[in-house]
Amino acid sequence: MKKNRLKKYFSNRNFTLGFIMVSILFLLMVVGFFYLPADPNKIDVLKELLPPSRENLLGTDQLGRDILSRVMVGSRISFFIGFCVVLCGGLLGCTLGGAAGYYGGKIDSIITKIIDTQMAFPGVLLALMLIAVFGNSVQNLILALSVMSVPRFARMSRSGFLKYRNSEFVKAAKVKGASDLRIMILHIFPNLLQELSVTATLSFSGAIMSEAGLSYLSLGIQPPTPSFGKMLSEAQNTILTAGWYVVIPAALITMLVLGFNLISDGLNEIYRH
Amino acid sequence: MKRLVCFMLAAVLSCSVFLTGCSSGKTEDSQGAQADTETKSETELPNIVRTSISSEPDSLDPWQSAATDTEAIFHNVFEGLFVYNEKGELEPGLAESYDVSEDGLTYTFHLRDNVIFHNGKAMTSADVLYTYENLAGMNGEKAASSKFGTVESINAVDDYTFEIKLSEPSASFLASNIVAVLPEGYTEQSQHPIGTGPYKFKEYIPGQKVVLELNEDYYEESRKGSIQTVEVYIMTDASSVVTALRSGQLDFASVSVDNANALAEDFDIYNSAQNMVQIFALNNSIEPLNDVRVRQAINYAINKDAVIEGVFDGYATKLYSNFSPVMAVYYNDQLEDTYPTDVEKAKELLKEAGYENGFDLTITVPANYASHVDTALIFADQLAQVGINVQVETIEWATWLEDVYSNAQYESTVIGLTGKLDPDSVLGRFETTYSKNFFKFSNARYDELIQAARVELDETKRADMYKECQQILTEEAAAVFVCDPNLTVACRKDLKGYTFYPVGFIDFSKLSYEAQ
Repeated sequence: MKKNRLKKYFSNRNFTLGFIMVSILFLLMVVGFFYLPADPNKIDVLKELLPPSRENLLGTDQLGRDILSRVMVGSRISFFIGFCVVLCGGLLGCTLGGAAGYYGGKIDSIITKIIDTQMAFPGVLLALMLIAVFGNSVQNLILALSVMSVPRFARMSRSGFLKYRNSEFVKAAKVKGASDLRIMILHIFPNLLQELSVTATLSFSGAIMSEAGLSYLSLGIQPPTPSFGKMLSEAQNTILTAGWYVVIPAALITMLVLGFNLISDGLNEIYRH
Repeated sequence: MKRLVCFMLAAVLSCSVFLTGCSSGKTEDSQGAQADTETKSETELPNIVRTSISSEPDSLDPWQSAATDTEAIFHNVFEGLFVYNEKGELEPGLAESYDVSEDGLTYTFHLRDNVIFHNGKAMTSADVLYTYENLAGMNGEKAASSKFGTVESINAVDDYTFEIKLSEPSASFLASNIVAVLPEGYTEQSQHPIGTGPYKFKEYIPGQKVVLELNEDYYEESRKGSIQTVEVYIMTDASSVVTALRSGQLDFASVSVDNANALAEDFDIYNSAQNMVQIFALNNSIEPLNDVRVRQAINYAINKDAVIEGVFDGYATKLYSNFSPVMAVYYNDQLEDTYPTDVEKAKELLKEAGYENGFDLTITVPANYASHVDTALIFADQLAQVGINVQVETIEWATWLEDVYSNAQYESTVIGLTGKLDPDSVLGRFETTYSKNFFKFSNARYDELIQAARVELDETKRADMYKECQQILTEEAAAVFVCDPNLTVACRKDLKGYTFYPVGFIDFSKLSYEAQ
């Protein structure tokens, strides 16, 4: 049974491709916890912008720091932020959407209005505003990106709860005397896991993308902590003299975002058929 | 392949020369014939020079404009009673000569009698009178410049003699007369500026370019330009400047060191110190930076060469106080050995000051200046060696201006202070009462010297005072004075004569093409 299910997932080309891309980076990150080729923040101006060699597999940046080590540490930030955003945004979104869908009526219209208002704000603008007011930190970045991803989860779970709230198994549970909370979490929620997993992977890649974008504008992760977006903006200054440097963060961001998007596409196809 | 591209470029360029020749021919027949014969010869050199600036002009009216980029271009259009040369020394401009009274209060300027404004009107003392009435706010309106507060009265003695009386002697008064003289009663300066300079304003297309034309009637042969048309494109993105240089859309432009290295093969690269002070400013008013030993320790701990090599690729001049050697007259060259990099000495001083185990320090840097951010990261690394735990914080430029520059709410920062011709504006930044003294540096002897130098008319004595000021800054370790980063300019190989000035000024009149 379990083997069959795995086979079903991996027979989908999109899913497999995306899974491989993400796994490579995930492995890179995991290895980074135990072993780094060099100190990622060690500045050595005599070794600046060395092209890839045996000593520095991906070369060095404009301050002579080892790019491979920085990439390994930088991927932590990407995964960490993606994970936190999906977790926070998902929790909040599902709670709001669930309540709206399950109870309907006034609660539904109030929550829907709030979500609609929030969707009217462009996400990055909201993040910029939060950072300008509360300062530049990882917590604020996660907060801003989580708020951005709430509507997606809320809409998804609202429609799910709406669909199931009058179904036979919910009525049966009600008759048995189950509380609303129990019905929502134990009876309806598991039926939405498939759709939500698609949304979650999409949110994950969206969060990584936004983090890279904000760090590129120097508004996300503070130096010297490496992050893909920050590396991209640093590399841009040397694009004519050391073109390979800009390729590395660009390729990694693409790989990560494309990987998650492919997984989400693949999941969608698998669940549909 | 490369040769083919070069050939095509040359073909396109010669075509464009031919076209401009034709268009000028339509307006004036006698010149048109001349232009046609000239374009026929194969060694014809281009008669246009194109460059770029990185920001939109803030105002075409020279009395309203404050931006360095705007000044750099429009100093070709406007002139004052004096102009400055490449050493930053004053030279006679619209005034041929001047006399000062014994008490240093009355200045008499003898104006040139052959100066013609770009609108064809001859310049007389009436125009100068009009100019100074506005600058000093003597016509009942708000003064157009803050530099003429000491002016008591002005007077046009005859058509070519002009007199200014001051209320107190001022050493920096002469140097402030580089401000533009404008024709009397002309109110369209902000739409179509009129000056006396070697180049005339032709047109400004917002977001695109400023076009200047040669002033054929310029009065001084030695400063007259030779290239007919100047186009200044507004390009905010550094990489599009490089692309435009490569594709032949620009003839010269200022570029970053990295980009200069990439262009070195096909372009002549010029660079020179630009009279800037890249400073690692320490807030002298907060603990533990209020202890001079701590500031000295930081000075000992830092290795400026690492910044010059790592950030500016060697294209920078090391500094020892808030003064660049470009301004040779006032520069104190005795300070170079004060703080050699010495980690042990730094640790000793910290121990003396009671910070044996170091302390936490935040360096707040404006995020848009990559070179300052990189410098801060290098310092963070160097200070860690003496136990100072540095946190680099990047903030937006507007926030930096507000928090750090205006309100001094910070611990330390890395920034570049732009050069000024008047040593008072450079060193006056550290005067206790100066409103933008964000270093919070305060020293009684220093304030005394700055004030005395303002009214000292003897240049040698004044220079000595400024040298002592620099010595105080260094000894008190007011900040870490890092380096003067070079200005790097990429210039096409047949364009000669690019000249550096100690302030932002692109002198088009010195440029000319030479056959290769």
